[in-house]
Amino acid sequence: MVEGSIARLRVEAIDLYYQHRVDPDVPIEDVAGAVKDLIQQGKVKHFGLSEAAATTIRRAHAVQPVTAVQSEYSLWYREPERDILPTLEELGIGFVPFSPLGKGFLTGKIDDTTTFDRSDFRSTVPRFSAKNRKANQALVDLLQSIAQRKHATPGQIALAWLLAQKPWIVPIPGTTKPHRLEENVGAADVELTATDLAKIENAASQITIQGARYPETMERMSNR
Amino acid sequence: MTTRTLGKNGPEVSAMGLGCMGMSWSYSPVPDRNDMLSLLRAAVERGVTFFDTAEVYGPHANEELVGEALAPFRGKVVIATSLGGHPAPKMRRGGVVSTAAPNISAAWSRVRSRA
Repeated sequence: MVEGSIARLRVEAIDLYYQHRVDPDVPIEDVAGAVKDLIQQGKVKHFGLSEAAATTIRRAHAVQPVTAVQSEYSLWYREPERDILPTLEELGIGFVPFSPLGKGFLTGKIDDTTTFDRSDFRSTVPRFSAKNRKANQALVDLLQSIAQRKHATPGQIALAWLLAQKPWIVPIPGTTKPHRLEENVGAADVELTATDLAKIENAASQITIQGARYPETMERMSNR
Repeated sequence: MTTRTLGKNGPEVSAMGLGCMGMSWSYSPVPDRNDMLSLLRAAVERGVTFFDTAEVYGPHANEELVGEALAPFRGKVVIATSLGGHPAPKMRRGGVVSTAAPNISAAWSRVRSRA
């Protein structure tokens, strides 16, 4: 709970406190009300939601203004464009895309010959089956071709594309390697022109991504 | 690095944040903790001011790692964390029960009852 997080993070208050996925059995108004109390008590500064549906975001925002929503978003998972991004724009809420590199796939370092240990989460993800990796390679090839022209990497193009969508989007690529950190941070300096973006849009529209992004049990916990 | 405002009234953060989940779980093998402390501090030096963790990552280990690494930079960085759980948490009315972090059960409802 919140006191535990405060102690572990060694802070006086939590900067941004998300509800980690929406619990369908707890009214979102109760969650927003709980965070409102925590903000009044000085334990939390900002309220966030993750993988929440647009209607849920509106209901929460009416009780306690939402600062940010964190959900999956990248060139290979564009679902938020339909309802979420327009809602966030209207309400003035920031967006934090997780898995902005498609859990590593968009870096171009994973192909149909890559093997995942059973303890690796990706071994359970349909989109990471060898067959689907092969089918989805077209998207990486697209990123690669643009990257070459921009003297960048495919991963940097994927991240720069996210930054170019809205000025209030802040991706959170994860890494455990110093050179990847450097690569990801460098993406903030990669400028995609309107022409670049149109080319990406056009090419991406001709690619149908194969395989679900999550095992079914986890997908059911999303967009609630 | 350039910065962005996260939502109309939100904090100002680096345009590129850092997701910390994989530093403690989810993708194998779990990396060396000291290496991850260094990596987090290198990120600050490189201009990253937005870090993402969650109570359920570990559970607790990821928050502890991030807290320890960023303690020298308190007030200069923005740390986001979350309550609730995955994968496959058991949910019930009045609280969020996670199989990974059972101590968070009913945390929300307890806060409510105090109000």
